[in-house]
Amino acid sequence: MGLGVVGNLQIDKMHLSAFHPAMAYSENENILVIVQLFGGNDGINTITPYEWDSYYTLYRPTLHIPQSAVSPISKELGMAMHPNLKLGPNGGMLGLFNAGKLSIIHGVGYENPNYSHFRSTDIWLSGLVPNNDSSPLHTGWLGRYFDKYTEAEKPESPFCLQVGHNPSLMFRGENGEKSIVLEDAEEMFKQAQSVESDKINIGGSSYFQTEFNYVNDVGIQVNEYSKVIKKAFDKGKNIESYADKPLSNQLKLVARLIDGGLKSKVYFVELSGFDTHSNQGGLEGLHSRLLAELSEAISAFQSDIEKLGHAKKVIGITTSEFGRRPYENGSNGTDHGSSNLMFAFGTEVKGEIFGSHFMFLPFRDHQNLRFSTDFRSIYYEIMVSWFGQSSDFAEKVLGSKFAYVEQKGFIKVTKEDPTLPPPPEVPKQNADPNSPANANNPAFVDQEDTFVLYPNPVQGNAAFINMTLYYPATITITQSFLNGQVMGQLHQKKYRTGLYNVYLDLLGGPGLYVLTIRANNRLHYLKCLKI
Amino acid sequence: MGSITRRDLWSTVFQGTSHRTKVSGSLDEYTLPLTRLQVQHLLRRASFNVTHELINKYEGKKAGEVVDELFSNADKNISPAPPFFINDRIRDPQNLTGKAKEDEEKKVALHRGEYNYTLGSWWVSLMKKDTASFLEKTTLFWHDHFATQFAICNNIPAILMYRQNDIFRKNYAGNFRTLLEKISIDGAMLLYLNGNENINELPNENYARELMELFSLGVGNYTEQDIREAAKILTGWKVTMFYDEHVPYEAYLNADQFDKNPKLFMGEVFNANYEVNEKNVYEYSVRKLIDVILTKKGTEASRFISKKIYEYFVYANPEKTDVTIIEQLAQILKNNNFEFKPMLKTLFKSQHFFDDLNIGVQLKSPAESIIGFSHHFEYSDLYTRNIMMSLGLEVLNPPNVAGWKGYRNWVSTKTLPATINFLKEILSGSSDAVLGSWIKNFSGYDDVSKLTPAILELFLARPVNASRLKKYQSVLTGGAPDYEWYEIVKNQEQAGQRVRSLIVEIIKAPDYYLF
Repeated sequence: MGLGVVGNLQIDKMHLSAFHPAMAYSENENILVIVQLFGGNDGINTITPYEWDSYYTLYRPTLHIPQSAVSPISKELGMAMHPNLKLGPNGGMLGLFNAGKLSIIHGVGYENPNYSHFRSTDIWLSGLVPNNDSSPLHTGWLGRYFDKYTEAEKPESPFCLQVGHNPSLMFRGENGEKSIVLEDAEEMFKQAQSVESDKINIGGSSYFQTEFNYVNDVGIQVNEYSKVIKKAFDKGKNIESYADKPLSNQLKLVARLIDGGLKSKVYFVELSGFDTHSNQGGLEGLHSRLLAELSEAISAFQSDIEKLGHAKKVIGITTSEFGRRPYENGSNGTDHGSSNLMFAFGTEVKGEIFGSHFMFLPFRDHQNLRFSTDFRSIYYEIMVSWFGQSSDFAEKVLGSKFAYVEQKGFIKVTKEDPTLPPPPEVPKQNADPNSPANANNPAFVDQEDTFVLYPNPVQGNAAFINMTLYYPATITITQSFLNGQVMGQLHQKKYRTGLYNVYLDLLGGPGLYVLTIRANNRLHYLKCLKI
Repeated sequence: MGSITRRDLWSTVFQGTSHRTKVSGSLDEYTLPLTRLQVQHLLRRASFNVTHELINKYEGKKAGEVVDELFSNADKNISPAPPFFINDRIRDPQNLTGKAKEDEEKKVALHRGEYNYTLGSWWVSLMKKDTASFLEKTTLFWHDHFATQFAICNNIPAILMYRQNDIFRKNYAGNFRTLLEKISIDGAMLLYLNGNENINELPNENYARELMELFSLGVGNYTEQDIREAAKILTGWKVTMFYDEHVPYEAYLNADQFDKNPKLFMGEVFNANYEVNEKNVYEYSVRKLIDVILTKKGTEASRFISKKIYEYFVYANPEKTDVTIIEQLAQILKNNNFEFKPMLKTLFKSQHFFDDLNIGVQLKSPAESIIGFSHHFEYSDLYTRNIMMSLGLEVLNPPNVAGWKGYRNWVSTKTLPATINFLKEILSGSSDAVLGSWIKNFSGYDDVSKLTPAILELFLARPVNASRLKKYQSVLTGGAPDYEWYEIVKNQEQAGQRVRSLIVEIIKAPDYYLF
């Protein structure tokens, strides 16, 4: 059972004690930059398992990144970078890795993954993995982090700054939004001149007053913070030159504001378009172009931050709501998957690879991978090591403590903590239908093909066999009486590996029968009750 | 405040919907004569526009009568004149050469590009004109619900977007079953969610997933297997914009790409034991799929759509919606075989809807803040559309298949100052003289103590308290004694100048952004 589930169960059952309001909080100078890759980045083509034949022949016959094009980063682990990750100042993200400023964290995900963008995005933003798909997620992990401040304690700079349009769930706390959303510091300042900046007290506590106060507070925040932001913008500068593309422009603004002395703790930028169901393409495709934009932006930002002298206090991470499935689909693309890889960048992260390539993780079902690191481990480590909060506080934000990635964590100052719970256990069993061909995977298939009759008992003649095949086979299904007398053949067809529903038109009247399923030379028997 | 307990955390994060004890929990008809405020409430929730003429007309009438009239007004207008390009016929440029090819390519570019903006401004103009009616606001609800973006890799032609829009308008208070059936083979939707690529050999699950996740049932009410099987059930449908290829813009079946194997969906068997042609596949595959969803999961589907309707028309805070009301609405919907009109009429006539605690609690989307404003002034429909786009609501192009997030997302540190500036720009399209003559339609316009609340009630969610009223009144008089307004108003330009100052103050007010 994954750790996330354990964490939630604990909360369900525990008698929780009140959080001490007297607890003192202090923030260090450290800053986090979050680069959200919306749509589900294909991590497999970002860092390729370049020496693994199955990647080229079985999983990505048309969409692989050719071996000749990639830049190996670990011969031992069989990993190489997409060539477009070389783009940008100082050799792009490859340059960052070679300089020890890029962590590559493999197998990040959560238990019982959700394949809806919206739900999975909300799970990542909230930092909570509910047991039930329909449990609403109302707050984000950073919103809850900054909930600790009272109105009077609010710092001069906004807690968080989001470059974009709509406020993200990540910054929604139980007592309000913790981020300022902007696209252009000067425009915001200009426009803010005409916003109502006084608190209008209309009294009462009905929903009307609640919403009135919300809008009123947005205006007051715009007014206050636009001045602070403008001041930082005017004082700050950029030294490195950036590509004139959306993500680069967003990070350019972030670097300038940091340089100008803005004290916001978290900056959020976004690149979308990663939902590559179709037209993902290979080396020249859509996904490759997105990676180019990512590498140019992150490497320019890191170089700028170093030249500006703020490298000691700034790290960044990339997040994406899920990875994509190992097997490409039929429309020149890949579908929503489960676990993925994450990048962290900066001089204060450990420039290492964490974990073996996540594509070597066993399949959790016939098409999706297991995960080996809970994404909340990253959040937990950031709060404890980078923001310097107590582990109890981080636990309160996330509902549980989480193991550091590979125990040591990805941030340089992280100290091992033996009291943390163990990382998620990765089951050995591999549900990849083609797994025996997976030479690099130590986990060997010990599953047999499965056949389940549905519905059972059967009303009338219509029934289905829900079939999972781990080997290609010709399937022959015959129906017999209990005494073994064969009534007739119901079905015969060649199948590739995979999951199928085989329709059967059963013979005979009500009674108990036996279905014999022959898969090549293996026989399976199912009892079937007709009513 | 200041710190959170874990119990608080838990209740914030995972709390279900909480019951609003103070608000009337009854869907029984509200039978007292409507006050001015209640009329404004109804008009603002039903349409984008409110005028003095309408408030005066309905003040003192009964909710039942007014709501029936608003629906019958809507019914009369479900077939507005289509945009000019609707009868264009285009051939596939690939089959042509030379000048003919170039000409057709130009047409294709217009239809995939500019005409979508034209269509957007066509719709905005309908929204602006639609008064005392549920039509356009409900049409926007369906567009938001069955969200389709025209701007994708290969833009969707405007005629397809128009046809989809027409489905929403004609069925604005129609039947859920009909809407789901029609949208499942709607041309724009086939292109948007890859239905046209969903073929027997390689099923594409994109539409099947959203059909259940976002359009009918909600997360958690279906399985991954349901999605796989539904995708197979929906294979083979195509659409084209070229008349030399097929009847343009009409979905058609490519029988060779329809999966003829039996499928098992939610325990029901789908056998292709019929002649595989367009009519039969639509009847026994597409319509049957919707029927199985609504039969097997009728309760979940009614609850899902009723909650969305409640959030759109009554209160959008998902934590504070009224579960018992939603449950009752879902029941009415289901009992009426998924016909929306009886449920909507019950809601809009109810004691719950007219409860004072429900008045003014919604946050305005750009449709409400921009259209409801520009209704009163001369301003280009295309620019109105563009302003809404800048503020995050581009009609015919929602951000993704989940539609607009709504609620507080409409009012952020980015959009609030931008909205104020756009409203000023719209206002600057009217000269002082125009504004000065605009108020002359208001009864008692020469008495500042009557004119001020008359202007305020057009824009603010609720009447303001005495001290704010006094403040606004002095903006209008420019600090002069109240009795001088009688003189000021005689000079149309001077009066217009004062009115402009007042409106600039009004659009800064938090309650301008509520309705």
